[in-house]
This record gives sequence, C-alpha cells and structure tokens, in this order.
Amino acid sequence: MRGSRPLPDTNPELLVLDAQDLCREYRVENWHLARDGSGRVIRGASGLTWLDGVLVAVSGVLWRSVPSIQSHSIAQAAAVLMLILLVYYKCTQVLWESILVFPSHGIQLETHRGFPPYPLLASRRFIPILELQDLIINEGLRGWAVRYYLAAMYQPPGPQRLAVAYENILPLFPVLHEVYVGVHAYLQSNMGNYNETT
Amino acid sequence: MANSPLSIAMISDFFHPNVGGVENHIYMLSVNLLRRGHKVIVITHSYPPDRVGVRWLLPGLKVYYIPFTTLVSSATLPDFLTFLPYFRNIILRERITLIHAHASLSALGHEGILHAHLLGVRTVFTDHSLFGFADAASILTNKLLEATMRTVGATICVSHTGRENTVLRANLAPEDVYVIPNSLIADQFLPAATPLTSDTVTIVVVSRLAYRKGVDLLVAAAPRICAACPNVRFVVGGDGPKLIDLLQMREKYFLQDRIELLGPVLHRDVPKVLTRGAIFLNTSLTEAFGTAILEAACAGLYIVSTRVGGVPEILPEDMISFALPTEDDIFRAIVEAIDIVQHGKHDPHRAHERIRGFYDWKQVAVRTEKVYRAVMDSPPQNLWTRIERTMGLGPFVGPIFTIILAVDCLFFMCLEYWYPREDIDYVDKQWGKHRFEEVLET
Repeated sequence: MRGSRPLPDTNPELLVLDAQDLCREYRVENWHLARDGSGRVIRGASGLTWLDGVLVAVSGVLWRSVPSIQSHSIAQAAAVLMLILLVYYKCTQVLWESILVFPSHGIQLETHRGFPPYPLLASRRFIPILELQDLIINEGLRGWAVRYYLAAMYQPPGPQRLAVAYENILPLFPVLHEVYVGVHAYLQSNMGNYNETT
Repeated sequence: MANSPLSIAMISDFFHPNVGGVENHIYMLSVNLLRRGHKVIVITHSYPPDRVGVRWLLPGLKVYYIPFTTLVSSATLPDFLTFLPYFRNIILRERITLIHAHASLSALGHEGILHAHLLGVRTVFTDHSLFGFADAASILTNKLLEATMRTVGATICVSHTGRENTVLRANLAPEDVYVIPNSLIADQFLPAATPLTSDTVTIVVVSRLAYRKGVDLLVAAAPRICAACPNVRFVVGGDGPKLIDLLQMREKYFLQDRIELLGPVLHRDVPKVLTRGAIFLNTSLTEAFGTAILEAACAGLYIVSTRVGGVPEILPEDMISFALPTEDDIFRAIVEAIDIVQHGKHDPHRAHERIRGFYDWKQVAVRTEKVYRAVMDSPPQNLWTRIERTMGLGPFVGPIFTIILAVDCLFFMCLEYWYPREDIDYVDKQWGKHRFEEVLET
C-alpha cells in the first residue's frame, strides 16, 4: 500500500493510496490548510478539546449544585440525553471520505466516521462497472453558494442516478479536478472489460 | 486595456425557457458577445419543478437559475436583500466585471444594479418597453426605476421613442441614454419561394391577443374589409384573452371562410405562417420596438400598422402604411395596402434583402460593447455620492432607499465575515470560444 499526496503545497489533505493491481484509493481527509496563505491547519473534526473539558466540568457542577436537577427526574433525563447526544456527535464526525477504484469491477464511495483519530464507523456504496456510465464534475446550488461536486452517473435497474462523491467534506475544485483526472486515467490505463463512454 | 475581454453578467427575470422579445434579445446579444471573445453568463429565476441551479445553453452560455418564486408573468417580487448572498457568490466566483440588467419590470435586474457597487462591478441597464404614467403599476415601477437609474453606469433603450419615455419616467439626462435597436436573424424569415396567387390577398396577423395589442381594432375593422374587398382573407395566429372577441365577431358576420384562426403558434412556426400572406397587420396600442413587424417585413410582407411608439423608426416609408389607432383609419390603410399589393408595387425579395442589410445582431453587439467600454472607462461613483443621489429622490422615497442602501451594506459586511472569499469555489476552467471549437473539431 503506497501513499502519495498529489497536491502537497495547496491541498495536502488529498491522498492517493495504491494497492498494486487491486485498487487505488483517492482519499480526502477532513482538514485543510487555511486559504489565506498562512499555512495554518483548519480541522473539520476535533478530538478532545478544551471546550469538551469545560462542558463536562460545567455539567458536573450543575448536576451537583442545582437543586432542580437533583429533584426532578425529567431534568435529569434531559441532562443525560444531552450528554448522550454530545457523545454521539463527537463519535460520528467525518474523518475521511474516499473513492476506491477497482479496475474492471467498479468504484466504491466511502465515508469513514469516528472519534478523531480513531475510525469507528464506515458507510460504503459500490457501483459496478457495468452500471457506471461516467464520472463528472458538475456545479450546483448549495444554500447560498454555488459549489462544484464530483458525481458518478450510473444506471441501476431503473432510472439513471447520480452518486455524489465526498458528500460531506465537499472539497474545492482543485482537489476534485485532480481526482477526476486521476480516476479517468487509472480506469483507461487498466482497460480490461471497461468501456468508457465519452 | 481597451481590448481586454470583459466578464459580463446578464441579469433579468425574463429568460428562456420563457419565450419573448426580451428573452430572445438577451440570448442573441449574449451569443454575439461570446463570439467577440467576452465571457457572458446569465442570472435569472428558477422555473418549477426542477429548473434550478446551473444550466448551459449552446454555444457556451452559462445560466444560473436562482430559486425565487415568481409573481405574475415571470416577474419576481422586489425583495432587495434576499438576492444579495447568491449575487455575491456568483459574481465573485465567475470574476464578473460588468452587469447588464434588462427590463424595467425585472426586480432581479434592479437588485443586481443596486448590489453591484459593493463588489466593485460596473452596471448597464436596458429598457425594452414603454410605460404610462397614470396607473398604479406604472407609478410604482417608475419610482423604482428612478431609484435604480440614480446609480447605474449607462442606460440603453431600443428606440428613440423608448428613450424619450425612459428619460421622462426616470428623470434622466437625455444625452446619457444610448439607443441601440433590436435586431432579428434574417435567415429565419425568408420570403415564400413561390409567389402567392394574385386573386386572393391574405392578411396575416400574429400576436398575443391582449388588449394592448389592439385586438378590438382588428375586431372592428375586419368585417368592414371583408365586406368592401371580396377577395381578401385573414389568417390570425396567436392566443390570449381576446380570442373570444374574434370568435364572436366571426360568428356574427358569418366570416368563417374568410377569417382563419390558427390558435397559439410556436415561434419556430411563425415564418411558415407569415409566408402565407401578402400583408401583415399590426394594431398595437403601444409598441416600443415592434420586432414582430420587422420579422414580417423580412419575410416579404407589406406592413400595415398603427403609428404608435417606436414603430415609425424601424422601417423605410415605402414598406409600411401607417394608420391612427382608430377603426376608420385602419380601414383606409388596409385598402391602400391591398391596392399596392395587387398592383405588384411591393417586391418581397427586394424587401428581404433590404432588411438583411439594415439589421444584424453582430452590429448590436458591437454597439453594446462600445457602451460597455465607455462605462468601464468612466470613474465609479463613491458611496457618499451614491447616498446623496439616492436621498435626492424625494422626501419619502429618498430616505427609504437610503435606508435600504445602508442595510444592504451592513448585510454585505456580515456576508463577508460569515462566508469568507477564500472559501468560495472559484471558476478557473471554463468554456471559451477556442475550447468550444477544439471540442467540435474532435
């Protein structure tokens, strides 16, 4: 398993991992360099931070001292529920998303979540090569902005559909372009049964 | 600097898939500017259910459909501030340098001009229609127009009559307003290959059957013409609220074999309908330019029209007969036209060649580009001048629009903080003329 960063200066969060003859993974990790040129790292998923410590301390103090929480079971249940929600939120942060390309088998879109830096959950979506029609970069409205997104056009039994890659992280165009060129080149160079429609 | 390509955004409520004069004008102007090497995008509102987001039109025109609900006939409400976030994002990502807004009734266009100064972008406005001064809708729209015109870079109108009208409505200096007429694609409107039989004279009418198109005059004049000239037939294409009046008139005078009603006609079928006739009748009560008349003249028909608005400016005197918008005068003018056509004094092919020489979209684009360059070279208004000019609108409207301007600036400041410029997905790879030619060759 060899890894390299194709854009080390501007977008080091993009990794290309190669398992020889089996697959190639284009992984985008959930952090990026500050875009104002300072080189600071902006993380999308945070581990244990000072804020978590403060929250735990404050809730401990409230639990012990505020009489209304000690007496009413509804308030206790609400407090426990909020704690559970906090833990759930912290443990399902997106760590990385990737596209795995299996030449002559298909492509797989993955999202790995967990408590940084430990992955706990993973969701995967496989698109067989015979269903896959094209990999495109398209633009769409997202909230108040227009964003580029990378999507796989495929035809399952039924109408044609689009599967969006890097759905949660949504990197900017330079990363998407690099992945687009890489995936197309990799699939073409390992032709086998794959017929690309242009 | 003088020859560097511009990045232009056309903003209007009125664009395809809606069909109409303004829509066609925006599309043809954009295509010809693209051919001259500039970058053009179009921003308009969305069409339910799913025409939202980014779409492309040949040959390389990008259209942004922004989700706003429409009010009446494809115009949105002037909600000044809700457009700003989308506008800022689109203008920044496409690196636009000039905004061209179309149509006075288009709230999106007005808002684009009002927000443009926050991004350092210059503005041009084109007015396509004539408006009155007395009814409620006109009073409000005129005030809105005046507010926008205080801060716009240049104004273009489609006829000299239109220019007079816009100058009066918006209190502008007439020497600051340019006149660039509309145009048409002459190849789409060719005259009939075989000449028509000379025993019947067919009069063609193609228009939206609404009050302002003067359908009442047609309803009054048609039976008189059919009685006076037994060899005349009418072909009427189009649909609208006044169709019922035409049907009733036809029933009353038993003219079912003399007047043929085609119903709604698609724009691509209009040339076929036009070549069925020798005379085109236009009875509009108001008309800023009259593209339909031009299309009919290009197809070789002799024109009879009411002398209103910008119609007298578009054709030479020997291709058109004018009438006052009264029933008697229209009758006189039609009789005169039938006489001219029956004596063979009007040559359709010569008329077509002349129109081909007069009107060309390429020329419209060249002239519009000159306006753009003039705007880009002039110094921009600074904020204080803008505030002073807006306050000068009037004792009530002045403060209202100045408050809107101030809130606009504050909202912009918030957007600059919450959605920083470095996080915007900039457009760096795009379709250009050369790229498009490359793809077509492979």
